[in-house]
Amino acid sequence: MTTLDINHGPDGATGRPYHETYKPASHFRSKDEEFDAVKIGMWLFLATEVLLFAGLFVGYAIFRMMHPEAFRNGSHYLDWKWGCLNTIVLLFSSWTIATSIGNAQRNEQKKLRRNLLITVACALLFVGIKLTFEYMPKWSGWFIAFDPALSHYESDTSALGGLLHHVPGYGGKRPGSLFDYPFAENPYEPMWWSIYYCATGIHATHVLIGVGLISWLYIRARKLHFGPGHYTAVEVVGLYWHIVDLIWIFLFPLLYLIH
Amino acid sequence: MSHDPHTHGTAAVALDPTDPHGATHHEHVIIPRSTLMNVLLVLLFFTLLTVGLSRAEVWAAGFFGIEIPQWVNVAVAMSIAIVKGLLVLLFFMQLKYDNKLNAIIFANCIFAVGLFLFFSMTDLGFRGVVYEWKKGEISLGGTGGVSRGAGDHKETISGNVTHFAREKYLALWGPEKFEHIRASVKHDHPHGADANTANLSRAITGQTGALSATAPTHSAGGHAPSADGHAAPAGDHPPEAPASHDAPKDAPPTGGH
Repeated sequence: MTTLDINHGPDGATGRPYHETYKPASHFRSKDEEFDAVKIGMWLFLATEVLLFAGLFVGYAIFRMMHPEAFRNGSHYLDWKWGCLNTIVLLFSSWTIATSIGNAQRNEQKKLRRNLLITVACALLFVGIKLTFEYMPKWSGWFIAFDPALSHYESDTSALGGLLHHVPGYGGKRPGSLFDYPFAENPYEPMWWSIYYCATGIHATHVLIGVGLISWLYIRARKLHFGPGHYTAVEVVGLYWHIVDLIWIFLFPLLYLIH
Repeated sequence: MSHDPHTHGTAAVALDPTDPHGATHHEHVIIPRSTLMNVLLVLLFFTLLTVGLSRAEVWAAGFFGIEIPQWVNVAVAMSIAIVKGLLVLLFFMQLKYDNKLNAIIFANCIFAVGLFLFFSMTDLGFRGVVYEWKKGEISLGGTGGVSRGAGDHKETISGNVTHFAREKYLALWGPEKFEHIRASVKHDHPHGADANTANLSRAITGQTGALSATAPTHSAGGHAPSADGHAAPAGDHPPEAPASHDAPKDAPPTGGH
């Protein structure tokens, strides 16, 4: 157990909720001191997260500089509409979790739970869009039946009762030695896909971790763990979620918009 | 904090100057709903703006053949992303209202990222300059094409600088005087006219005396230790034994025997 969730459960004597009776860990003099310490720790962790993605951004810059044509072709394979929609989804979820901190501070328990749920839903929607409309067709050539892009292509096979349609010659846009797309115009296109899958894949992993963390917040919020007296976990998970959004704010134009 | 309409929480701990952990706690700030909503709207606006500019660039290239240079696209897209990132950091992540230490931590991190990016990009960006210089042919005595001196003494060296010097003084003195002067300055030099000793050198790296080309080569089969560690008798290897005794009659008897 961390300092975040020590002293679990309602106060036995008074029956008051956890956030009202919350006491900091014994090595802190006050709740405020604990709050500040936890937050500094989170910011240090976020700095390492930024450095993790910095490696990917510098890799992108170096390979783009060395093989501009491959990256130009590569970004044309991506549909800016999905990228834009996912950006809006993430920005909106950033807003809901920022608002949920205010809800905890004002003891608006119902709104707090609702905002946390919306944030989880947005995170799942983001990963769902990425897997269904972007990764799956590019990797395998299989489209989901309601993908609007399907109208541009000729499908030869369908599966799962017409839910999936296969477009020959579309898939195989994979990283490195897995590359199997027959119409590449530049020998370095597998390099583009390596950067694309690494950067968006590590980002999507962070989104999924965020789903877990925000679900944990939701479960605790249902037990009235957060309120004006204690909302440290909401605040630091919120910071994590914003950094995930921040990374996407840079990935989106770099991958989808710069031609 | 005077501009923050709502503050909340327990009062900050009073400052105790004798305490090394003196109270530095910031008031908890409740960011107004309207601020968060406005930030979201501005972020969405900038998202549509950056997409719109990117589409406009593709459209301009397609319909009017106007090719906007790539660095402009990159600069515009990255500037918008930086503004969006700052909005997220300042308002959603509350750095504007927060303990400044958190902002300093993050600013240092961004500075490190900047160094990483800057030196990678200058390295890659200026490779061409270095390669241009490195790709020139390497020849003995330099490649020439260099000017030196000034005024009446200005001269341009073409080709090998040793040849240039020789030809220059031959022309200046004439062949007879050139030979006379050479005899006077180089009369007791052991190598005579052959000043270039480069072809006398040979690589000796990685060789030991016993393995060098002048060492006897007949020891390979006959004197190799057998598997049990003793020197193998000649009878064990009949086909090789005669050859090993015939081989280099003029070689000095070194090693093995």
